[in-house]
Amino acid sequence: MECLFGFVGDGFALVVADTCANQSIVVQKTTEDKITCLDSHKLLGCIGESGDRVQFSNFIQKNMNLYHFRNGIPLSTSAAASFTRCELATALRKAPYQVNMMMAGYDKRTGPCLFYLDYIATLQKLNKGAQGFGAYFILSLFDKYYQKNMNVEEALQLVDKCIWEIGTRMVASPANYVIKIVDRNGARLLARRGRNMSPNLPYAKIS
Amino acid sequence: MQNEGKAKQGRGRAPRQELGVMARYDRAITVFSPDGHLFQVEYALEAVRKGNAAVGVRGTDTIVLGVEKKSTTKLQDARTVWKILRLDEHVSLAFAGLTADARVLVNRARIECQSHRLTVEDPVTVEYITCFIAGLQQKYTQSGGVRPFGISTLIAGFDPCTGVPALYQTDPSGTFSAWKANATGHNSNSVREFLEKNHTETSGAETVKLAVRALLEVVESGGKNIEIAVMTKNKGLRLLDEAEVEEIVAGIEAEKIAAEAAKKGPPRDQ
Repeated sequence: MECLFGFVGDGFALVVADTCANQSIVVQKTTEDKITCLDSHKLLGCIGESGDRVQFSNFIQKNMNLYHFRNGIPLSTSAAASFTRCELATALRKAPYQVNMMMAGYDKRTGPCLFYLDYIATLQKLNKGAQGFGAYFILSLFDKYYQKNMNVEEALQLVDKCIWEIGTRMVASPANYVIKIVDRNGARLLARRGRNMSPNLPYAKIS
Repeated sequence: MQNEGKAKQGRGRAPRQELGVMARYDRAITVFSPDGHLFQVEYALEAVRKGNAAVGVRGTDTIVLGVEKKSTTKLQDARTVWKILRLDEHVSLAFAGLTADARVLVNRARIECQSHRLTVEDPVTVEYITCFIAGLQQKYTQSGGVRPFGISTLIAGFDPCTGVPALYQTDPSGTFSAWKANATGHNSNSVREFLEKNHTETSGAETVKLAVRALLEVVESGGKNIEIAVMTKNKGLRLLDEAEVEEIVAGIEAEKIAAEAAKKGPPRDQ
């Protein structure tokens, strides 16, 4: 069961995705990177149908590049999110892309931002959001523990809580996760986590 | 058949009859003339010859593209006039001829660069995109009701895998070939002659200097009249600002003066 979530902190936005590629009962790969860097300051986390996931995120990335070369400046994050939503909407009544996404970006003037995009072309700007079955658990954790303007350490602690909760309470939870961050300095890999690697928790660990 | 004879005879003189014959073969692009010319393509080459001079020089680790900038427009915002264009991270293009035609062609090339990356997950090679642009230019020489693109392009870039620099030229007929250094546009023959005489294997700043010297053969001296862009493997395309170009031009002028003085010097001592 795939898992994707993200939130905005103090001058940065985080996106976390699982790294499992499964096909029915078989685990094909445990190191599949589901978060694409659309450009130097944007991340697109994408889960869902595996063919659509790769094709659609690459397609969006190349169109972002094209815009950059044609116009000399990159798209803003909200413009990129709107473009992506339009592509989803156009395809919806023909051959829908079965992908759910979280797009995070950093714009010089407006700072970090996060967008929730659904397979039926829903678009919403949010401070915190989640996709997949994990969302049922993660949103509750966000409600209790998320605060505005967290720094990176606090953010990682929240991420660890989420990963631990999914690992404990979800059937067939993913084994590994990748955490990517986007801030003033760009979009990059921040950390990787395994299912049971959750230090600094106030409650008992179950090994 | 009657006309065939006349066309061959009139090659040097171009009498009235001859012009009439030629005129019939330049209306529609798809028609060959009796002596095997595609006049529309040749007229397109004329349009290129009227365009601003452009030069390209390939060094061992650098490629330099230079264009002539006409400085007569005082009210125009020069930043919105693009003469050296980026196709992708590692490929750039300079052109001579009709600017609007270049805009359309470059747009198609940019789409192709990204499309290539999407389908084969690899950046284009310089030859591939040159072949694509040349193929597009050729298509417009073989369709009804369209005219050829009135531009010749100089395409510069680095191979994405091996990092080897490459410089290619295309023209309105759709032919392309690789060059060590070349020029198109106004007075391109003079520039090419200069390059043939003075070309050596260069790298870095030496390549820039060679390109500027070549362009100065036909352009009024000064940083305002020249636009230079330098391509390197790591940093892609970088447009030199006016001050940098002025510095290089001043350096070249100083060298010229020193060379002149050296020529005149010894006889006076005697």
